[in-house]
Amino acid sequence: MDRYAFYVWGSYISALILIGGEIALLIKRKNDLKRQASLHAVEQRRGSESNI
Amino acid sequence: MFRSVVARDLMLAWRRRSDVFATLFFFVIVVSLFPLGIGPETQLLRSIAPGVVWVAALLASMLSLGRMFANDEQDGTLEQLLLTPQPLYLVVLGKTLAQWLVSEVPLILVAPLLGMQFNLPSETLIVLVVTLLIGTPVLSLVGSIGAGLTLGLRGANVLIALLILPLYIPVLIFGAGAVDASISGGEIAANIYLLAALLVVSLVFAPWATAAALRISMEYFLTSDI
Amino acid sequence: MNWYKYSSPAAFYPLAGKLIPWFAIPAIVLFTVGLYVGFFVAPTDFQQGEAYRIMFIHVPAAWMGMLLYVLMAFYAGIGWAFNARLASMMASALAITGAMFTLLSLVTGALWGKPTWGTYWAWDARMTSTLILLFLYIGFISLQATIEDPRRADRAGAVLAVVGVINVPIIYFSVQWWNTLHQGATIRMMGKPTIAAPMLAALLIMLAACWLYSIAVVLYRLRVIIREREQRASWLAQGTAS
Repeated sequence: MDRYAFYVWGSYISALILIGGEIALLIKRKNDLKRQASLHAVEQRRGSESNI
Repeated sequence: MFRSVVARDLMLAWRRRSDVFATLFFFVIVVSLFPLGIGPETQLLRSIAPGVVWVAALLASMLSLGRMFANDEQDGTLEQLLLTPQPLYLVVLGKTLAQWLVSEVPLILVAPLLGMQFNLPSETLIVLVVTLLIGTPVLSLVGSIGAGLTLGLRGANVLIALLILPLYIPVLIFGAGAVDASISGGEIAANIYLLAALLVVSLVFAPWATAAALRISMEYFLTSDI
Repeated sequence: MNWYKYSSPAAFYPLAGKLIPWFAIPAIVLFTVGLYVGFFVAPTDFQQGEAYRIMFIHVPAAWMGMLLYVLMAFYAGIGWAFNARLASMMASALAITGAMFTLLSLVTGALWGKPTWGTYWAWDARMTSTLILLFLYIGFISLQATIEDPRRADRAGAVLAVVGVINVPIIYFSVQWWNTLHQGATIRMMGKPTIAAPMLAALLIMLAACWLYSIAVVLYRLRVIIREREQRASWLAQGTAS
């Protein structure tokens, strides 16, 4: 195998890792936000119930 | 107004002398660590001396910047300074001058002694002092921007370093470059001129940026009702 | 057509959502085409053998890193000068993508350097400046992460970004200066191979792909930021009401 193959493969794999990682982290950020929102909504509902 | 800002800061610094000495000792210790880590060989020490002294100066400046506005913010003086009719640019310039006098000038005075530790010839020691004389005000000026931006934040000191050290790199390159040129027989003057150019540019722009940063940071304190 | 109505985050949010696929799908297509041309059409380089093909990801990544920084500073400045929240949010959205591309360009640069020049890292002007650019990005991101109040974070970031963008030419010049001062090894790192047409084509296609990708990802992140701020604002309002 060409001795350059390691470096070429390495570059494109690291590109995949970084780009994929960025997308993955972004989706995680969005999901965390959604989860927080629904948790907050649940708390709010519980809060108003207990005030009765 | 300018004079009173400087005078007040100098007086306050005199009351907290130990802070000032701590920064100075940090500088001395850091520089002295390198021979211990690398070895006492004369040629080697001579070649690393410019970089070592200059990097230590950068790091020591970082320590003193955190204090620049924080104390005033705590005792309410900063609010007053922001509200005076005097241009904030001048106030910032005054505080920067005081910071330079208090924190950087001691470094300049001690540097020749450290240079001797590294077996630098006397002509080089002179160049070292000149570069520090021109370069350290730039460190104070640019550093004040970091101090203004990070006012009141947790971990402000580390954050200042993170923000400002990349901006310090040109000063480091020209300052250490001049001293290195003196040792290896290169072009000293060009580096000095470039350092002076940095000084002029930062004198004009940095206090303005710091003033803007202070207004941004203080608006949070002045208007938040949390 | 009144474009100003899109300057509010709430109005821009759905528009951004509609735009994303228009950038994401062409990006994927162009990445595929670019890699195909780069690996199967472009010939082997006379000097560098197959290793030069790293250029097809390294060069676009480096350019994106720099372009996005300037864009980030531009939007941050606009947001600060005109008190335009959406512009500031755009700056924050750009930062992470820009940092990612800068990091990618450093990594691929190192991997390109090893087979071509024998060393993973060489302190040449371009690599060193790219490293400093990464530090500038990290500073911006850290500052905004540390400040809790969104408006203060926006404006402080703007000051930092504007100061940074003014400094970038100074830093680049000083690093070039430093490089010529210490000319031990006169290696010209990352010398581009003599460009044959398919190589140039692949390079441009990959650059376009990175551009489109960036727009898609940044718009997506912008939407998340808009949501985050909205949520934070409404929770704070509820807090003071109760």
